[in-house]
Amino acid sequence: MKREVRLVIDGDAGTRAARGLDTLSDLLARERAAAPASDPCREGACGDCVVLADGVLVAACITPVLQLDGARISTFAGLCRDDADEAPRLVAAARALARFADDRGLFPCDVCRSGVLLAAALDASGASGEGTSALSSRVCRCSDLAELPPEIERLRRELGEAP
Amino acid sequence: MSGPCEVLAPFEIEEAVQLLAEIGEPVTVLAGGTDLMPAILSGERRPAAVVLDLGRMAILREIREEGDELVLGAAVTAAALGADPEVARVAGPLVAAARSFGSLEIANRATIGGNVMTAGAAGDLATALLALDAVAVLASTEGRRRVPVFSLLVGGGRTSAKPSELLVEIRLPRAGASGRGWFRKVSGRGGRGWAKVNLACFARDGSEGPEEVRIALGGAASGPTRLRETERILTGSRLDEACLARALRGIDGEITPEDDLVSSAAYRRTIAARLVRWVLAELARPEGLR
Repeated sequence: MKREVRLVIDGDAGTRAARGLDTLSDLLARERAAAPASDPCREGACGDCVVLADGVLVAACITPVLQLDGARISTFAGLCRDDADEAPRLVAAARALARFADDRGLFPCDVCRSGVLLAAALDASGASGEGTSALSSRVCRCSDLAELPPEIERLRRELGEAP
Repeated sequence: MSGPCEVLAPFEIEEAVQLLAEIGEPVTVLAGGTDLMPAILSGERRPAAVVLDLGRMAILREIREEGDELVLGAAVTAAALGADPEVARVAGPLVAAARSFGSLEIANRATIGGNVMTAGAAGDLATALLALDAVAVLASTEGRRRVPVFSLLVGGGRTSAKPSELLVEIRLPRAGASGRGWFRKVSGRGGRGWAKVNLACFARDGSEGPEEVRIALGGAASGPTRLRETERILTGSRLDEACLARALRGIDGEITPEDDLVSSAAYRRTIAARLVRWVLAELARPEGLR
């Protein structure tokens, strides 16, 4: 039995059909070739499929679409677009980190790129919450994530204190 | 993919318990989905024909004070617990457990009610709730009943809740603010994954040593348990070396760890003893995590 769900995905508002416990990953894969870039672990463990749902970081692979009715979904790719509809600090952090990663040749295989960089952008913009690091649970098998924390710190200073 | 199931998402608790009563067959309850969804997606679990989604009941996400209790809605997330100053004041071990969750995206969705009702061998929040003497409130069309979380978690992945009952609240004694508490876990993934063993402890100090001690262990049996005998040895004791040694010697006989996909019984036995040794040393110190 299909139901209509209202969603805004990276600025694209509309109703989508969802059935039972269809996940957000299923929906994104159906709609967008671009996101998520990787085949998720489908157990919420790897963090590669994360997106923002009304500003809250969620694992798309285990989040039922029906629970997201009315939500604004932002993928990392969406955050990097000119028309991104998220906090300016977060958008600035996302773009700066995407440039940094590409300049340094991080994430050569691309599997974890968007999940790691979205977590890093939350940390850099101060949106992860006091004493919480979204990046700390991330793993990349191809590159050294130790390059990211100094850049996150630099961005935190550049962007100033969180409002 | 996930099978033909109908997802119902009522706005009110009364509506939800009415649905449970009318459907009359087992219903799958969906809160944050962090345990349920992986189990369904891997084929380990099949959802019932009807799934009850708790996501629209705003009252289940509330944290409020009521008399001498702190009331946590069943769908309060680990992230919300970890950030709440009143929960930190009253229930330090619960906040430490909530902050030990694997990743921000899991903490943002995992709920306290889900952690209890999943009835895992070592749910982090569940273990903390045992040490804090928390009470669960179950709602049905018959009304509400209070059950200590200890009695709700009967082990073996089961709870004592009836199929017609919905966990709606967890209640904590606000007197917890006058005690000391600890939480620690051992897990894979740098200490942030599923706990193999976890321990939570609460103590209220008196002039002659602790007048109240509760030690809860997860992973030391088929569900989180209390170390009643150890607690008895410690209560009212000066916690000198002889007492601590006696308490430690008793641990082995008090636990019955099991093999599962997360860990082995032998490993859990070793780790449980070490966690208890750690917390005994903490107890004997004048200051602990609150």
